[in-house]
Amino acid sequence: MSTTASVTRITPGGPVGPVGPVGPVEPAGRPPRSLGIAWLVWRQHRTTAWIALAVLAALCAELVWLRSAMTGYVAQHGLAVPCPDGDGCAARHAAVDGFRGRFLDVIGYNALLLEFLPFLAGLFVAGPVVARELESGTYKVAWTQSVSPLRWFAVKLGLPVLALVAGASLLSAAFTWTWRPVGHLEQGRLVDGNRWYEAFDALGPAPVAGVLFGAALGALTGLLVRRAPAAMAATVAVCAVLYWPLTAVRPYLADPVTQTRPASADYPPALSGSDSWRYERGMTTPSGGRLPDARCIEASSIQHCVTGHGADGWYLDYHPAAHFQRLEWAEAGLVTAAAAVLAGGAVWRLRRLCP
Amino acid sequence: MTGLTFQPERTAVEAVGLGARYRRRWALQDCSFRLPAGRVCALVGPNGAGKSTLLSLAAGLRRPAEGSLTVFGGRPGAADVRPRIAYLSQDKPLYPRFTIADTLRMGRELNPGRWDQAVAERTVADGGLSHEARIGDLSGGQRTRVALALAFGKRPELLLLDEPMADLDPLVRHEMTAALMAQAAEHATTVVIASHVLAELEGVCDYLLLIADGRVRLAGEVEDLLAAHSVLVGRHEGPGLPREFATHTVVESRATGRQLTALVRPDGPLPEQWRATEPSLEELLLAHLRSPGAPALLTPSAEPRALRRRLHAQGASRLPEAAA
Repeated sequence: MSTTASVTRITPGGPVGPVGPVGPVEPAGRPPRSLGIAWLVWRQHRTTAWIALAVLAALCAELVWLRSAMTGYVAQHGLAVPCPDGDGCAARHAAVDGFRGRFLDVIGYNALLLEFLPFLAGLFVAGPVVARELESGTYKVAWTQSVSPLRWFAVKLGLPVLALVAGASLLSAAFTWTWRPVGHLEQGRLVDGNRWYEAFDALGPAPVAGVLFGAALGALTGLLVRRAPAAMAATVAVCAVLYWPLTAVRPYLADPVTQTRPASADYPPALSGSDSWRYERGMTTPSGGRLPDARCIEASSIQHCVTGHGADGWYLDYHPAAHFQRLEWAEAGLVTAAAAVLAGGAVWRLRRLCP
Repeated sequence: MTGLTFQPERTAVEAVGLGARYRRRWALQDCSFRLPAGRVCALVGPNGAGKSTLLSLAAGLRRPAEGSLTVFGGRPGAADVRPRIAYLSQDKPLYPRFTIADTLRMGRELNPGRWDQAVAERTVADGGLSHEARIGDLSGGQRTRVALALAFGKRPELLLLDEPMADLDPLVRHEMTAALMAQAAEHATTVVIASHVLAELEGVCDYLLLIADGRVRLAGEVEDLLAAHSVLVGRHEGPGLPREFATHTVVESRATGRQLTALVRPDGPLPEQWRATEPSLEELLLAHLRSPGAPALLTPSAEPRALRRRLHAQGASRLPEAAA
């Protein structure tokens, strides 16, 4: 069978055939570096990659500047040591306000960007990486070369996801490094609004796990929807919808500390204003049960209101700052597991799609 | 040249009971045929007949819903078969932001150990195209040329072309057809060209596959298929067909006034009072396209070997019963 074919075949790589003028556009002596599918993926996304790299470098430089400016301010105003009670604290409050006026917005914007990284990753993977290829039909070109569609998809998704995870890791590490020296000072008052439990999604492993999740979701929606704009919109919508239950379970990922206070106390325990994440307050019954917070704090007589509900005290569930790492890694594990489920769905879809 | 490339015993494509479905609609159903290697085959049929579906099945882009389709004896998507097939889809998708040089580099990167840069570059250079031109800036015809260069560079043994010349002007079409034929002859490539422009196939193809409504109507060597049909012209009045046609298979008949023209598959001697001529390829195709009810005709070389063996086995087992 194969002998008949080789008889008539002109030897490949031999002297260039006699037909037509041969334009020596590329010198024949250039050694061909073969990168396979990786070259194709790089060529397709190199503009995006260069832009992303430039933005990443600029952000890292900005974070280095921010950290040195913040630590400089803290050292200059002696904010690193607790305030000795007395007159010195008035000047200190002014210094804290000055810090917040100067740096809080910048910290906030950086945190916001990191919190939106999963969305950006999902948008990129869903649209330009997956759906555009299926929409424009260019996948047919790739699938009819010599490499198998499954390998093409593996490299096509693998390389961008690797790059996204690397970029998110670097950015998250830089932001955490910038935030840490000031994050817990003055009971977290310096970074009010971006305390550890408020900037939770921008710190530590959270953005990296989020990017994995976004990328897996983007791959799945891209493969399912197969239209770039629709797939991108679907990714953002699903990402936003799935984000809500995630934040709802967050406090229960580690055992909280519970503080109780008898009803005879003047006020229930405060919900805000500390470095602890005070996420749930309610009333306790004499039998040891729990009742939801019935807005008794707004009543004219708090005590009366509490006893009127048949309760005899207050409880407060909170996570002290010491729980930060535990919660971060527990949630990162949960999000990564969800990403794995979505990636499994994408692989299942891929196998159905590939001939 | 054709003497070298004609390899009747090698099978390029073979389909047995092949079916393909888009949701609930069958695009192909119960298709059985064989295409010997080294042929240039015209795949003809009306719009929506299933030509593109058949080609994408052969290219390994989709899986059959039923039956089987093999290319060089293997599944089209198999690791040892995929490198031997090149495919040009109807819309010729290429990456619009790539330059021509990038596109050819992609061919090299995705076909390791197979790619022939010289052949691909020559195809592009013959069209006077610059390597730095972006695909998105090219005209439809120029894009077709680049897509063909990508296909030629793969050095395929089976070249599947879906409406390749639709957006080319007559001059370029002629050039591209010549380039295609040179390629096919030089490398013993089996070529399948799907088209509904009959003129672009005449004189190029030596094999024919006609499908309509998802089924094979005609398959075989063009010469043999033409020889198997006759155009009969004569006088006839009254309803129905003349009695002397009864022994032949009438594909199509048309009456103009008292004159009747019929395309028939003769079985035995033709009636003498009728003027009989061999049909042209166009007449043959048009008659079959207009009469989808005509029985299918496959020449011996177009019968799938697998099916033939099975039929022979069945025939052998039935014989003693008939004798008893």
